[in-house]
Amino acid sequence: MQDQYLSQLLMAVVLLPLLSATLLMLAALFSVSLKNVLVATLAVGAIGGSAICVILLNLQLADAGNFSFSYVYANWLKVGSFSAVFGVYLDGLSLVMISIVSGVGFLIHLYSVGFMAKDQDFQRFFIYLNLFVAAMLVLVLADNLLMLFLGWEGVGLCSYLLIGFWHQKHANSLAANKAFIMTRIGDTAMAIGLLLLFMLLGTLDIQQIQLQAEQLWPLQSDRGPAFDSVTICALLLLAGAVGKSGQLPLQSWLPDAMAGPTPVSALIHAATMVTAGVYLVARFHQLFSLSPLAMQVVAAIGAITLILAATAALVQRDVKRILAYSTISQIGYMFLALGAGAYSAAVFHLMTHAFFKALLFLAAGALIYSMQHQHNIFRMGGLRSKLPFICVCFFFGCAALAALPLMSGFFSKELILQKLLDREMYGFWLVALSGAFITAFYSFRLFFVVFFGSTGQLPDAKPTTNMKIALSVLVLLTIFGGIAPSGLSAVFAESELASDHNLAIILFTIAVPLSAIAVCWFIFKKQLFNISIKSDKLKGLHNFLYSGWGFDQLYNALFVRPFIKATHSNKKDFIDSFYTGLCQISQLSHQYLNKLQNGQLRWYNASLVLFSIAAMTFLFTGQ
Amino acid sequence: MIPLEHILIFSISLFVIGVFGILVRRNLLFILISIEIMLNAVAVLFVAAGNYHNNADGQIMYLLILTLAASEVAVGLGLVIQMYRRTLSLDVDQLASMNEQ
Repeated sequence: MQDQYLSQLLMAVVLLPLLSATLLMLAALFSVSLKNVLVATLAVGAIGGSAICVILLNLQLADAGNFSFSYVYANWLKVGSFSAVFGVYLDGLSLVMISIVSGVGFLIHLYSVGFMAKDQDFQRFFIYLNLFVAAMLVLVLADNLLMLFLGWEGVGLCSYLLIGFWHQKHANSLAANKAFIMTRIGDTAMAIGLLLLFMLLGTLDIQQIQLQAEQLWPLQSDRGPAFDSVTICALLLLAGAVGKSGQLPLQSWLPDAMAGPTPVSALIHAATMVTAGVYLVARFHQLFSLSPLAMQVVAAIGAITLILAATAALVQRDVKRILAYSTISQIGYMFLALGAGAYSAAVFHLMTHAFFKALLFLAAGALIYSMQHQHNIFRMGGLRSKLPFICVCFFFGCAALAALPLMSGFFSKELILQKLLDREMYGFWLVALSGAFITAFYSFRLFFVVFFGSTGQLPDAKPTTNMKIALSVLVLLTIFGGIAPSGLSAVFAESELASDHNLAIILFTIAVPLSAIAVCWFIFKKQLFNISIKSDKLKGLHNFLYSGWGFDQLYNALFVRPFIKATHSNKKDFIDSFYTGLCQISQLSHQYLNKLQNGQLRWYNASLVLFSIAAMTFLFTGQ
Repeated sequence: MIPLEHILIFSISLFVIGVFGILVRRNLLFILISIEIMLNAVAVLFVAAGNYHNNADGQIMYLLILTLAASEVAVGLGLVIQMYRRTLSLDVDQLASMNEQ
């Protein structure tokens, strides 16, 4: 009885956004003009309904400690012995994920109603947004590889459509292309990994795969890191995760993805889609645990990315680019935690990050909305009295991002740092700590420059009520969301050892962001942030950091330009030359043969006579 | 009795004259006459060959060719008259304009 109730709820969670997207799409297809109010009610209502279903699910499962359900709704494919199903799998991890997706998704939908009110393509925006939420829910609820891949590609498609939402501007479609192509590189590797898993283990079911993997490739601790088939599978999956989550070496699409509308940046490129990579690794955690090498790679990628993106965020001037780099950096933290085996810490950080980064992006959206689409933070300043509400939102967002004590981000980041110490990964711990310093520094650089100091451009609009409601709820979530979800530790079977740490170390980690803020305030007071740099070396460093460590230039030189050159040299398409050659030959022969058909009777006669003579000569001499 | 070689030479030269006439003459009437000459060259050859073999078939063949030539000339002359009515000349080269659409 309870099972049936749960399965119906789960189905509603996924189908409601999909249904609304379909309805809106059909309306657009048959060019039924809907009023914006109707579109908004339908779209926001659908996500709201699915959020309510998720809350009901949470209530149902609140006292169940360790649970995992899987339901099969229908058959998808059935060929011989192979069959794929529409099935969902619900455990602590996917419950946390659907809560984030539907909850934050609902708030961002609500916010978008205000933000996009004046846009002509209001309906198209909500179609894409609903479709995205549906695809993301499919992705996190999938119980088999095929469903997972369906959701994975679905969110990729929606991300592409939404980055290029204002496609009238060429740069936006270029950014969309870049995001799509770069994630495609990872997705291809991931598809190969999924097929390899299916080939080796003969099943599509994710839980089955991990059980069989544990039996087939038992972990041999004495052997050390080795390059075996489980490592290959894990690394291929990791490549997909890296592409989706904007980690090294596929990170450079994410800052450009900010070309999309700000609610999209908040929903897709901060809170949900980009964390799909973290979810993927966490979902396959048993598989990853079997390969020490893959785990080390995950941790190393996370560590390098978090430093790279944090330093790049230090020098950005566009408010959205600062937040984009900070997203990359925070996901780096999650990967670091995953690589250290602290899966629940990673997912916990994913959750708090979803709250405070959605808050920051939405607040940035409100800021941009109020400032005539101004993105440059140095054109703003002294806005704390003009836009007090946004200032408060930004303060809590930045505080959580910087992991100030008692904010949600503090608990999760602290947990990651602790787990790194537990596992005696001191090198990574140091990296994470210095990352925390830089994070606090750049987030408060943003805060101080925008809201303190001399007044720059003046705001000319106020955020609408919808936006304010969404922002207020997110502020509450940011402050009080630092409660680790209970179901996670059961999923990852982690020991709940109370870590006995030196109090001094903990105090030290708390002191790091605070000192960063103090340094930041000092530099801000000296007005050193926006000075023009004189020395060449410093200028070079600044440009290096500003371009995100020059990855765009590197990829342009390595891949884009050679590719363009190759395509340019093959502009005429050498395969086509065979067919154009055929065409030319027949045209030439037509030209010459046409001359024989000249209508001159005497020419015909002459050729007849000549041919007869030739034939006769041939016949007589041939014998 | 005229030797066969003489008749052969006569017949071939007659035929070549006919071919030559067809190739160089532009007047349709002369082309028609040239065709007749060629037919007669062949007919002479038939009669001579039949005589050489002591066989009457050659002469029968000549009668056949004669009727053939008569009907051919009837059709041909009809065409010549038609052509003259249309183009007011008998120059075959002018018929090449049929080639141009």
